[in-house]
This record gives sequence, structure tokens and C-alpha cells, in this order.
Amino acid sequence: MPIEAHKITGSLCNSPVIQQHYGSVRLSWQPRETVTAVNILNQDFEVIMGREHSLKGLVPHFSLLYSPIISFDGFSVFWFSHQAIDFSTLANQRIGLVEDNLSHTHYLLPLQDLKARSSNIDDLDIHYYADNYSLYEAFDNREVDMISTIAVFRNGREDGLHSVKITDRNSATLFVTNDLPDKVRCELADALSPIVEYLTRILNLISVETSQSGCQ
Amino acid sequence: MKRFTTKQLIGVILTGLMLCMVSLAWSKWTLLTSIKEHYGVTYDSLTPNKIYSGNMDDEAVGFIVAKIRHALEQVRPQSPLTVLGQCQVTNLAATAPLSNTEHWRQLLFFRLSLDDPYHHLSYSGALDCSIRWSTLAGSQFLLAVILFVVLQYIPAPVCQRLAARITYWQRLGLTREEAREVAVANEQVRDIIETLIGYPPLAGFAHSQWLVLVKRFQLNHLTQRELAWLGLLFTRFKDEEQAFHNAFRLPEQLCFDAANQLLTIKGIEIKLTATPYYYYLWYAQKRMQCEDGWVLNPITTKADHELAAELIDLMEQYGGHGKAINDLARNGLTAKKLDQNRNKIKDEMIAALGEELASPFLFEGQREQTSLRYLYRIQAPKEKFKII
Repeated sequence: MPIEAHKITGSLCNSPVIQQHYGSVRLSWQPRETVTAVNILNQDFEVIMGREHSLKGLVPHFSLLYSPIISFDGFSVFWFSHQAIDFSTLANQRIGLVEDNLSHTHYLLPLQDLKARSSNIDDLDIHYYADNYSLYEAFDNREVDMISTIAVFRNGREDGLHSVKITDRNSATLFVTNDLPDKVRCELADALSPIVEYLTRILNLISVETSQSGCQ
Repeated sequence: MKRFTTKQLIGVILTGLMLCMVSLAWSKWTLLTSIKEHYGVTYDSLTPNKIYSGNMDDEAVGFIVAKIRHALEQVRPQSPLTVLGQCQVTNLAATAPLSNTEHWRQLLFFRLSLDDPYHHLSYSGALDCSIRWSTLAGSQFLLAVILFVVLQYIPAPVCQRLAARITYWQRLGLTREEAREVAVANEQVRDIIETLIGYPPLAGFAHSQWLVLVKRFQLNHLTQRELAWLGLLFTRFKDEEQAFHNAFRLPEQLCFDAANQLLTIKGIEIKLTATPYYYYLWYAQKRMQCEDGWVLNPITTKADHELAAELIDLMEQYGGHGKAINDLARNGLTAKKLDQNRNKIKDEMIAALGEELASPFLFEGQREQTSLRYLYRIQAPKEKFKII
């Protein structure tokens, strides 16, 4: 997540524990399709955010290399539409998705929902956009009728947006490399709190699961 | 022009200060709103779309924030009369999306908050402005003074009941200003003034004086007798203030100035010819000297020389009429003479004061059980007399 990343790197740099274990802290903006099996096998990154099944798809014994530190489980994804949503007329709806076959929110989950509701996905009028910014823009300009995204999308938009929940079990997880000393794990979890705060807010989460022990 | 009181001066200063604050706050809010509108229009060009991807080593949000900050740099209010000088947005930072309430709170504390809904972000920063103190203070204090002066000339708004009351008083013949003053006076004062206006002997009374005099003499109730006195006094003196003074400040006391053969009450002179005057004085003395003051009338058939001697003494002391003295000395005091004089006194008193006001100073009689002779005295108690 882009927000307050400098705060995270800053607090890591200033931490005596991290200073003991590492020579430097590097912030790398890595689009998810560019993370490779080699990156994971080499443990190039100490902290990775992603979904366990996709990472396992890259490296089957992923859990021997990385373990979850903070889990954002059970957030919802919705269909949003300017009109009331009627799935019996799906063929007449222009549907907007992001052209990113690793995106749960904007690609996998909505497609799965469409598949369950429609006999033939090929008949549907689906438009693909490069990123969620372009997707939102298209929706706001009424180039598409329906898009799938998280609840915070409603924020700052006109009232009267219609929505239908696709799932309330979407998840994302922050992983750290295995075999880290407890105090380093604790320090990392501490430093990552701005992300936790931000995601808790935009995903409407009530609580976040952190798997760490021995922290004060 | 009335002079400023300290209270009014403080009022103007406080109003000025308040106007300064409101004006400053309003300018900042207007500016913030216009920045937000401008941002809304240029949103697409300010926020690049691919911030989540792109292999950037630099922080993407930092890039957007810098871009927006650059666009907002040196925000300058346009109007020449503005109270704000140069403005800058400082400490602009990205946050999780703000709710509407949070946006309002930011605005309340003069902070800029912008939404970036396509990236699920908001940006928030402080608005720092230099203030043109001279323009601010000059314009707002001038406004305060103008407001104050205007308020002096505009009548305060009146409620319906008060308006009706004012109309009522105007119908009774008061001017609008007089009517307004009377209408806001307390109920007792209004009652008194209404009674006074409706009392025919006071018809020529200057209306502007009603409230002034009623207040000056601190009247809060009015007896029928006081009203009668006021009417009589005004008819006599044709002077509002004199009438009020005599009616409410002078005691109701019959005053005999025997040396000058004068009889007055509340400043009104009662003309009596010499003989009745001394008879009246003699009766008054009797009333003052003993507890009940009754004087037994002589028997119809026999003149009384003892009483006659008293009267002769009195008349001689004050230089009374020679003929009357001689008559008394020769014939003594007869019941008839006494009755005649009492009747003259009664007639003159009623002529001067009217029956109502005169009555306590007239005679009352009763019959003595044994002799069946009459006793007479002046009704009023002894405090009501004064002999100089």
C-alpha cells in the first residue's frame, strides 16, 4: 500500500533491532505480476503482501520460506451500479473489470460471480481496464454500468449508488521470511502498523489478525 | 447628538472584534471551498492513474502529494478588498479516505482536505495565510461603527402585542414616540396615564408631559381624590408641573394666614369675606384645641355672650370688621348668626373646591340628647389645619 510507506521505512531505519540485523531498508514498488519464483526462493524481500494461494502457485513450498504476520481476513467486495442491479438482464449490462488476472477484487471474484449467475460468460458485455483508476473513471463517466470493488468506493460519491455483495470473505496477508528472531518479527509488525490502520479503514475491518508471539 | 457612553464604546469594540473574526473565518472558508472546487475540476490531471504499478522505487503517493502541493502553491485570494494576503497549503499528506464528518471537521479548523476516490485516499493539509491586519481592522471596525449608528436610528422591532399597544396610545392622542415610551412603561404607570388622559378637567394637559411627570413624581397609584385635586389645580394654574407639584407634594391642609386674612389649601386661595373667615378660623381653633372639637349652638331664644367674647377677641387680634365686633358685643352670639356664617363658609368652599374636595372641610352636626340643642364642628381632624 502506498500510503505512509516512508513512515514505515523511516521507523525501520531508526530501529536499533533492525539496524543490528540489516544493513539497509529498501522500499520496492513491485507490481504483483513481476514477483517471480526466483524472488521468493531467494527470499529477496523480507516482507511481502499477497495471497497465499497465488504465492504457493509460484513456489509450492512457499510456507517453508515465508509465514503470515498480519492477516486482513473477511472483507467484502461488491457490485456497484448507478441503477438497481438486476442479474436477469446481465446481458444488457456493460460490466467493467480490471485486466489483471491476479486481482481478486476487480477480476477473479467478479468473474466467478458472473459465471455462477450467467449461462455463458462470452455473451456478456465486459470491458477491461488497465487499472482500477481507469475502471473508476469509466464508471463515473457512465461508460460501464457495473463494476466490482470494495465498500469504501461509495465514499465521496453521490448517494443512490446500488450495490450487491459478491463475497465477504476476501482476504490479503502480509508475509515475512521464516526463521526471523522474535524481536525482529515484532519490530516488523510494529513498523507495519500504518498499513494495518489504513487497510482497516478502507476495508471496513473490525479486527485484524496478527500472528506473532513474544512481543511486548 | 447624544454622547457615547463607555458601555456603547465597549459594544462597538466587541462588535468590531467579532466582525474581524467572522470575516477572517469566512475568507478562509471561501478560499478553502474554492480550492476544493478547483481541485475537483483538475482532479484528473493532478492524480496520475498508475500509482500502484510501475516498478517505482520512489513513493507514488509522495509524487502525487508533491504535484498537488505544487499546484496549490501560492494560493492567492483575488479580491482587492480581501483580508487575507499570501496563502500556502502546508504539511499536505495522504490519509485514508475521510468521511464527510471528517471533511467538515477539517474545514472547521481551516484545514484543506481533498478526496482522491480513484486511489482510496484523501489529502489533508493546513492553510496558512498572512493577514492584512490594516484592511481587516479598518473595514470591520468601520462596519461596526456604521452598524451602531444605523441601529441608533432604526427603531427596535416590536412584537405584535407592543405594536397594538402603541397604536392604542396613539389613538388616545399621543405621538408615535410618546406612545412607544408609554407602551413600554410598567402596567401601573400605564393605568395612571390612561386615567389622566380620560379625565375631562385635564383635557388641555400637554401629552408629552404625562410620562415625564408620572415618573418624576414616582406615582404608582392614583386615588379618586388625588385625581380631583390634580384636575382642579390644573384648571386653576394652567401649568402641568405646578399642578403635579401641588397635588402630590403639598399636604391636604387648610391653611389660615389670619394676619393677611388668607385661606389656602394646596396653593389654592379660597376667598372668604371677613366675618365668615373669622368664624371659620374660630371653628378650626376649636377643632385643633380639644379632642372632639364640638361647639354647642346657643339656644335659639337666648344669645350667648361667652362665645361672643371669644369671637370678639379673635377678631380684634387680627383687626376684624368693626361692625361685626360691635354687633357681637351688643347682641351676643345667636344661633342664627352662627348658622348664617356656616352656610356662607359652606357655599364659598364648595364654590372654590367643588363639593367632593370641600366636603371634609365642611361642618357636621349632631343633636345633644338632653337639651336637644345642636353641636357643630368641622369634619376634618385637627392635622388638617394649620394656623399661621
